Amino acid sequence: MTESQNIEQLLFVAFGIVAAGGALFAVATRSLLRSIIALGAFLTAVAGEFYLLAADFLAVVQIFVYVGGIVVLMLFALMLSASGVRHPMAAIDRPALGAALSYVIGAGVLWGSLTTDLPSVGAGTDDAVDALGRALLGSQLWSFELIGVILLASVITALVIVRRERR
Amino acid sequence: MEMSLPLTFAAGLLWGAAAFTIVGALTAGLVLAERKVSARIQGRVGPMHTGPHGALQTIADMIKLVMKEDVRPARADATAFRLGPLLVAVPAILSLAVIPFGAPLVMRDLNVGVLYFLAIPGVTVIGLLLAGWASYDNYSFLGGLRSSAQFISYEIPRSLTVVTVVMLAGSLSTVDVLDAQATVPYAVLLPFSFFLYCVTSLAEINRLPFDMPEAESELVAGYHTEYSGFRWALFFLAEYAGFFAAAAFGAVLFLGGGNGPLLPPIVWLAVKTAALLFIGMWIRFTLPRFRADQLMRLAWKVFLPASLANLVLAALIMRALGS
Amino acid sequence: MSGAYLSDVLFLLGFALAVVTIPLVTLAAFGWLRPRYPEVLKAEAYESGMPQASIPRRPFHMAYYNFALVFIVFEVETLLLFAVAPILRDAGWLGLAEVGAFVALVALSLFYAWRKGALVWR
Repeated sequence: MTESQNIEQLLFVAFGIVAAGGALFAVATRSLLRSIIALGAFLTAVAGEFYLLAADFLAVVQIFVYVGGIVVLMLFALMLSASGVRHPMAAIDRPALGAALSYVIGAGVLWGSLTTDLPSVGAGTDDAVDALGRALLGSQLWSFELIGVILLASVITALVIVRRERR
Repeated sequence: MEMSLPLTFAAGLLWGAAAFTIVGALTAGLVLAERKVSARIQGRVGPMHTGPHGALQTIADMIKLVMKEDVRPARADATAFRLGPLLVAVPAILSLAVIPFGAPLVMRDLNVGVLYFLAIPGVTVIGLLLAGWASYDNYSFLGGLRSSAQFISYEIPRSLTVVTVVMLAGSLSTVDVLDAQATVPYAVLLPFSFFLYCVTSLAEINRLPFDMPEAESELVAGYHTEYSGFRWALFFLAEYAGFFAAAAFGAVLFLGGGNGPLLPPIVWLAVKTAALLFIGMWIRFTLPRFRADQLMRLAWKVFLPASLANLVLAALIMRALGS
Repeated sequence: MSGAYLSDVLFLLGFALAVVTIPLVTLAAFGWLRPRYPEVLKAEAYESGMPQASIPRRPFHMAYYNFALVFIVFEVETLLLFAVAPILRDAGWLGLAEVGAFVALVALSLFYAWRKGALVWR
């Protein structure tokens, strides 16, 4: 093993520890505010993992959409509803059932990722951004246009739900 | 060519320290420049007492700021109160890492540099919200919400405008964008994009005429009302870091950055950045402030459609000219 | 191959470490020189000299939430445009039409949100 591979593995594990720690803290803490901040740390660490896996575009998207978007949305929700929000973990009525369900899902994800034959890192191309663009306008054209439709649908859904809540 | 890995890390540390120091010095310089420019525009003389023509005024101010008491409201959330200013200042400086200052002075040429520059300051919003919420103060709370709503609203048209540049350059790397402008700067090819970029940038960094979040007549000082001393200074540093970064990035994207005859690249970049900074100050002391609802309407009903139309137009022209 | 990505990460980590450490060290270092005179009134929330009239923990305009929701959708759309923008120059009229269809969907989302009054600041 070369020096660079050692460093790469060390970093990968380090990001993993931060991600796992953040995720654990997010569900363990009673403060919703701290939970959201821990989620932000988790998402940032995952972005680091993406970058190490040669998915630089995805890493920046992760920061852009999840840290700068979803986390902000959650903070807005917390701050606008003030004391009216309970921590989602405290809102679960049957903790045992919830725990069992999350173990099953977790095991499923673990089994899936261990048995699937994943491509090796950075395989195929040295310009991931270019390849992504060509795929979106080529073989994945339908996904590209479909995402547009789905996003339109999500604007409609979001506004309908917000409207109903207000009434 | 490629540095060894520990050396790369050390280079990162060094550049980070350098970036922080440069931003600190720039803030001092810009504050003085801004006070002098505003004085000139408003027919005053500005600071005159400390040093010749007040040249040492901001140095004195900086010493004062680090020496000041660190006050925290009794009911504030201590952790979030401490985290807020850091989350505002750190991303603002981190975004500088991809600006090509000239041949030997490119800190880091990322494949996705342009996107990195747009994404990282988005983290600032979390800091603004935390600071406003943690202070347990009505003005801070409102200021934090308004600032972040404004930031995210202008982020969309700003990013959509930068798409046109990426389209023409054919790359997301800031260095490639610069190289693509070797003959003609994009301000000539994409004048409307340049205009949109400048206006939305001013709004995104919360500067007049878009500084609603800090409208002192109604919000005292917005999200940093309860901050003092060095923690307050971090917000201030972040504001000027953002101002500088937006101007330098604008110079790279639209004015050809360091490209220019005779003088070294760093000088050309400095001149172009300074020109954009001056325009920003000029606007600040010339135009009145917008109202909160006008600001949001502008972002979503004027700039967003305009940037979409601009994108389509730029794509069509590029295709028709076939270059 | 992945070497460039690894050094990018290392560089950015070093950069971030320096930028986070410097303010923390400055804050700690000047802690020795800063005055400290705690006072009950000083620790009150600022409200133009009056006692705080209402606490800042109350339900507030949902308008902010609306904007944040719409923001995320448009952000994702913008990022997809960034993904195709670099290759659009040599994608021909067909590529342009494909992206045009996507932009039309974006415009439609904007139009819908506009008509439904989600972009009105209350």
